[in-house]
Amino acid sequence: VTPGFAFAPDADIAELDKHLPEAKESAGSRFHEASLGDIGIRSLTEAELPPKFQVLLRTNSKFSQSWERNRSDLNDTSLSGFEQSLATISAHNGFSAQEIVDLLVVFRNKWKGSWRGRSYYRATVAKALGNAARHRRDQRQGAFYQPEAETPNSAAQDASEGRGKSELLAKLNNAIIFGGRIRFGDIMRGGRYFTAFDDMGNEILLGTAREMNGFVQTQANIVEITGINLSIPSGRKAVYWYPVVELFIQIANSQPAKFEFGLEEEVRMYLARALDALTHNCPCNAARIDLHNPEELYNLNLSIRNGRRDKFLYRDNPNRDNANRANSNGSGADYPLWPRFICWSKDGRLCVHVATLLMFLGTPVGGDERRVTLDRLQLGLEMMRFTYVTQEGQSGRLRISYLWAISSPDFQLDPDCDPQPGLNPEEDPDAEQPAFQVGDYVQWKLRGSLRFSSPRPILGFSFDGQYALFDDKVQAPVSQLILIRRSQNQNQSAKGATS
Amino acid sequence: VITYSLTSEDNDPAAGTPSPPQQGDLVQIEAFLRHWFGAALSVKKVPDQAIVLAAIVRLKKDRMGFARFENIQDAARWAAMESARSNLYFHAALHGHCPRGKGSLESAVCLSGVIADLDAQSPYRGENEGKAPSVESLYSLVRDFENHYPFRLTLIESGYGIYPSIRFREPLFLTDQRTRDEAGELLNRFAEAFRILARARGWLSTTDRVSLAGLVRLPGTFNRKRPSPLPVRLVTPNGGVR
Repeated sequence: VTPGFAFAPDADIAELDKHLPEAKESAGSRFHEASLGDIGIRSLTEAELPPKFQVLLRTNSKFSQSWERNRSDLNDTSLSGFEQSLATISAHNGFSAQEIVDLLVVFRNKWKGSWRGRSYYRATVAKALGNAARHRRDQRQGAFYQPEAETPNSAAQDASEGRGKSELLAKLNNAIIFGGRIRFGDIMRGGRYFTAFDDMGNEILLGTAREMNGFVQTQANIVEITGINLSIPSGRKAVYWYPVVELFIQIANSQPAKFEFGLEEEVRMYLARALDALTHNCPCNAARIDLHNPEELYNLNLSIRNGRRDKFLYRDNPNRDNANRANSNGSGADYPLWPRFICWSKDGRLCVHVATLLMFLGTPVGGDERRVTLDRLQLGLEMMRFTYVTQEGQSGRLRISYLWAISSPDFQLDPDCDPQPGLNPEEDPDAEQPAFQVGDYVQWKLRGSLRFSSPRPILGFSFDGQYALFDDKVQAPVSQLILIRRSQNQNQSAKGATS
Repeated sequence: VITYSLTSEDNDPAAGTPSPPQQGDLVQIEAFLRHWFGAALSVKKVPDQAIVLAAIVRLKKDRMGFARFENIQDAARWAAMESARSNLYFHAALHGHCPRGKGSLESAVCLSGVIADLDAQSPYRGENEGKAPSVESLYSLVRDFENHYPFRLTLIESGYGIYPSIRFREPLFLTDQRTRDEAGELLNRFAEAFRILARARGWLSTTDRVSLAGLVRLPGTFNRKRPSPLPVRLVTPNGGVR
């Protein structure tokens, strides 16, 4: 008190915050509805918090890291950012609004944060409780519309109940993510690929299980065929998409596969993919190797010795052709030249450096194959009668030796393909497409992979001529077709013209 | 720092007899400034924080000047002297750098307490509708508040109204925008408490909020709205002088 003047006693700011009315009545009443009551700001110590706080601190690492302000995955690392994180986690774990406020007040005191009023805590807690409620609603509703009262969806539960394919399809068509825009009639599996057929007669390549779970590839394929772009709300893939993928697989597995890839076929596919990728990355890789030329073998082995996984991450180097010509020893010191781990020899042998092939298959450009192992590759190569030979290269006095898996002479990686994969440079996109005709046998090459197990005859074309039609309602863009052989009629007419 | 100057042309014959050149009550001014800002100024949390006083001269056209003080004694001395010719105001918050002299919401750096503005009817006001009939009647509003809430008020009688205020136990430093918003909200809620009570008495527009950039008459000075000035002073809730 200043001498001479008696001023009123001071008030605690928290008390004022507690007693003064809301300036906007609606803000408080909305919070009352959301949290089933209002909150009070109480000055507690950590020890006075409820026991479930200590349990959460011990069992939830994100909560304990936020409590210590030690989260590297948070964008907002301000005190209020950590408070929102704590509030969200505790709301998900069933804390009431008042319990959340208590722990936030203790947290703010612990870190000597500036004062915050009820409006701040209301906003933080309301957001956390709202998120928790929405999450619970998502979990309850799941990925599918449920017109009648059903228990939460679960693929495992459906399987145990032995639901028929038609029921599974009906459920699939009720998926929230499709929103009734696509209606599937069947799902088939061929090898590792899943294919869907919709009621418009479209064949939609869904991709492998890995691609389906990744969503993006499958999304692109669906857009390409149907024009419908699926989207998932941010962070909701586990809720809206994974159950749909489970259903795709379940429906496909409820009937025989169109065809199965054996191990040999699988390894052939890997080899073809590697040859295609190498050729695409650098057309000079399409050249054959002379296995009796020590200098060529030296360069080949040197590229293996300098080969690193990271090099496969660089696909487009505009100078790579020039650099390759300039630096013919392939050391790759100044540009990311891929190791040449697979190539054709002049006598028609296919040479594979198996360890580098395995490394390549584990990269994104190699397909991110996680299932393939060294044993599996070696077994597949043995089935194709590959033998292991140490190839020694020499340049001057320098020598490098590596063990290569080498096929028999005149080996055919793809019996229906001429020339064999990897023997021609990547086709010029500006070159004119061959004019296909009905009856021509073609392959469908999509993103470096052959989609048909064997060449198929064209049965017709779409009205605009952009799509070729095959049996089983398959449609393929003409731009992605490779001519394998002309139809019999054309060949005969050509012969007739000659005679 | 004062940014206006007076000339003989500023004498307004229509305003009647000029106010006597009586200076303000230095003791009261200093006592109040020490009460309101003393704790905040003793903690030098924010560089450049200062008491911002405003002097408004009511002449042909209102002229306004601002002065910044880091020292309570200097501020009180200047206010007492300037009060001989001006209406003296202070910003309820301490302010940092103010490019135009007047404090703004953004320049507020520390709030010492909450304060509101209660106006009574006056012949010198443009609009009297919805205001309390007299300053005396405003004391009933003050008593309503003290009966309803567990707080006691420090009152500044301004001549035609009252500024009720409550000082915080610890000054609130406005270190970020969110705290600034919270402080502004608290000032609104303090005024809202009076608005609710005034509405019950049928006075719909007697309450005004004081924002972080708001100006409050300084006790110990004079309200020079009319030719014979009225003292601005600290009073008790019963209307007695403190």
